[in-house]
Amino acid sequence: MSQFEITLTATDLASILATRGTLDSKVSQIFRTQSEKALDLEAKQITINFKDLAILDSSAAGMLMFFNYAAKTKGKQISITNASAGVQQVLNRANLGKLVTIR
Amino acid sequence: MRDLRAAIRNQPPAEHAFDRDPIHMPGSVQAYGVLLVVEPSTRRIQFVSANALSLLGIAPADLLDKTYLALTDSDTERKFLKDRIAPGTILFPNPVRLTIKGRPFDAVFHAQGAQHLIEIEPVLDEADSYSDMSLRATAELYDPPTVDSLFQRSVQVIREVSGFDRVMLYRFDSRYNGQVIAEAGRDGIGSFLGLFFPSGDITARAREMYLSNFTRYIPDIQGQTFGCDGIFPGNGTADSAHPIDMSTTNLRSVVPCHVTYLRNIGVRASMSFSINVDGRLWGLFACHHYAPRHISYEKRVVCEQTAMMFIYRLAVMSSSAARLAERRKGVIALTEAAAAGTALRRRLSALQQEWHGTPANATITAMLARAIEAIQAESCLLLPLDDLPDNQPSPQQVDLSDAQKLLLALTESDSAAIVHHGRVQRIGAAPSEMAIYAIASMFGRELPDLRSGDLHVYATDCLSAVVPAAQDIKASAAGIMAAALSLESPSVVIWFRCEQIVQATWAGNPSADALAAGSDGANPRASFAAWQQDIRNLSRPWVLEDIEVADELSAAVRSLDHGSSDAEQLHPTGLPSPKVATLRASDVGPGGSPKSPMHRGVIRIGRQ
Repeated sequence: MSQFEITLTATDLASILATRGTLDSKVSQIFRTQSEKALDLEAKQITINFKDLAILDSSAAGMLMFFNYAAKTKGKQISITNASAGVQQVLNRANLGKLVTIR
Repeated sequence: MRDLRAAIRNQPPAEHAFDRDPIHMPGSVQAYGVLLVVEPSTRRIQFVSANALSLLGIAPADLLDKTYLALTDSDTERKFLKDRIAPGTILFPNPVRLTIKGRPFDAVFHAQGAQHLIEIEPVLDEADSYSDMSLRATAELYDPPTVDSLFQRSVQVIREVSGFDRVMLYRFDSRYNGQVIAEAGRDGIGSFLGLFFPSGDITARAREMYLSNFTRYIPDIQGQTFGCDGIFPGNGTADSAHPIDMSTTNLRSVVPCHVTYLRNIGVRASMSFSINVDGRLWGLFACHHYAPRHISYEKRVVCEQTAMMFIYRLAVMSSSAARLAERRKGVIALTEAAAAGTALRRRLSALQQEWHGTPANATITAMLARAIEAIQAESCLLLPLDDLPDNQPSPQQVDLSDAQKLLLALTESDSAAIVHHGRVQRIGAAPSEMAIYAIASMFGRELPDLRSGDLHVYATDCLSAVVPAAQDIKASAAGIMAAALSLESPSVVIWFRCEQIVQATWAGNPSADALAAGSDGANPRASFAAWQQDIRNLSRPWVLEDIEVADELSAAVRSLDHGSSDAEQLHPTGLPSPKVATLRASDVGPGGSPKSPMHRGVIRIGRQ
């Protein structure tokens, strides 16, 4: 089973989703639960911190595209930070930089 | 770290002579763009394709060993390149717009080993912006009501974005034969829906490349091919001193065999996007056009992203994660039942020994033995065959216990058996005891040894490929999965899946002879006329989820087994140990009378 943790912290200005482990289709429900909470908060900026994320697969890249779409419909901006080299490679292959800000 | 995938030995795809051709190092590119291979720290161009003059207006000799920054007319673009692209860059701001000799180009960067590869293609005038196309595609796939509608919407989105004549969703079976399961196409070109295509149509190397490079784009199969000039001797082909690995590129030229294949099928332009699930190629979106078809990089990106959204939506809608979670609950339930049964059995065995030698011994010991047996039947997946009436129905006719049903449901199997020290317990419509015993005794010989090494599980969807005699039992056991229940003794649980005969209509004759006719790499099969040929001898393939569940159950049962062995070995009396006493329980008939030694016994999970 994929190991994955996600924590949501929020201020009025920004929500931060901090992830750890492997983000793939098996754990997508866990990601979705927390990310939907972030969409319901006041903050217009949602930052996904990938600092402790070891693996991201193609399906998770697809999930991030849907998350970005849902955020846009609520007038929110998504950004991704601190991705490891391995995760960056997937983000690059998925051309996710065309949809969200990656720092 | 153990890789459970290695325990899955489904029947591999047929091998083809050109499977390992170095198609990733052709040393040449398609005509629609220019390839640069650069050294990232100096940005100097090490290789350039020979079409630089015709497309960029610059001769290759004027580019080699010079910095690619000099390509652009614009200082702003040059500064952008300096700021955003450096040695070690992984995330590229693709496509980078460059103005070269007054004309706009898209440059797409890739990191490949110690080099950067840059694909430069002219900007095409297109009305739709990336944002609009992306938004429409996402909205379309956001909430499809069914999996079938997901399939159909996906091919329609890709067709709308790409403008190709036909877009197909192509799903592979475990041997990489593909079937078209959804299609969107213009009127008047017929339909490929439902057709099967043999594994040889996509070589093993091409399938591997699809795992890391999700797009293959061939805008004109009749387009010219251009070699590469370099600062090194040789031309960048696989056998040159400095081969260029083009695995990550789109411009990579097309091998003649594939060009002929596409020509035979009547296609002029082709494009495909891989669908990778759990590290395996699940399928492709395959696009065909009957005239040359050039589309922008951004349109290709939207199609590729549609494929990724499809993968996610498919995983969620097919509930594979939810199913795995349910299966894991089943493993826990079975393990807890087995643990409870083991504990109770131990207590009863202790009582049995307390009564041993007393006047009431015969009756009470027999009763206890039967109680122990009943507990095991309930908690350890066992069917008490001793209790069957004289005119025994076959086990498959007997209602399965809840535990037995759960054991089958865990792995979506049709039947199962537990084999312990040569004794066989069948569950459901399993093969005969003799056949099961024969299969169990093959582990460590024809089949892998489950008791040594890291992997204590094994699965194949085509047992007859390993053991030809298994042809005779394929109706009930075309595929098997087995897991060791003990590492000390020969105890194993085997799940069986029936033969699944697929009545397939192929796009051409898929037989080895027909494919061999094209195996020289230059003459692929020419006939795509519908051909009826069933797929036989295979069960539904075993997938990673199955083997994970089997592995977890195996480990859980082995841990119970380990927990019991010490106590049993340390039993202080000089009497038969509880394990022996328990085994003897099945030799006692109703009322405590001894049974025939030939009477069938009860086989339990774990060491006895």
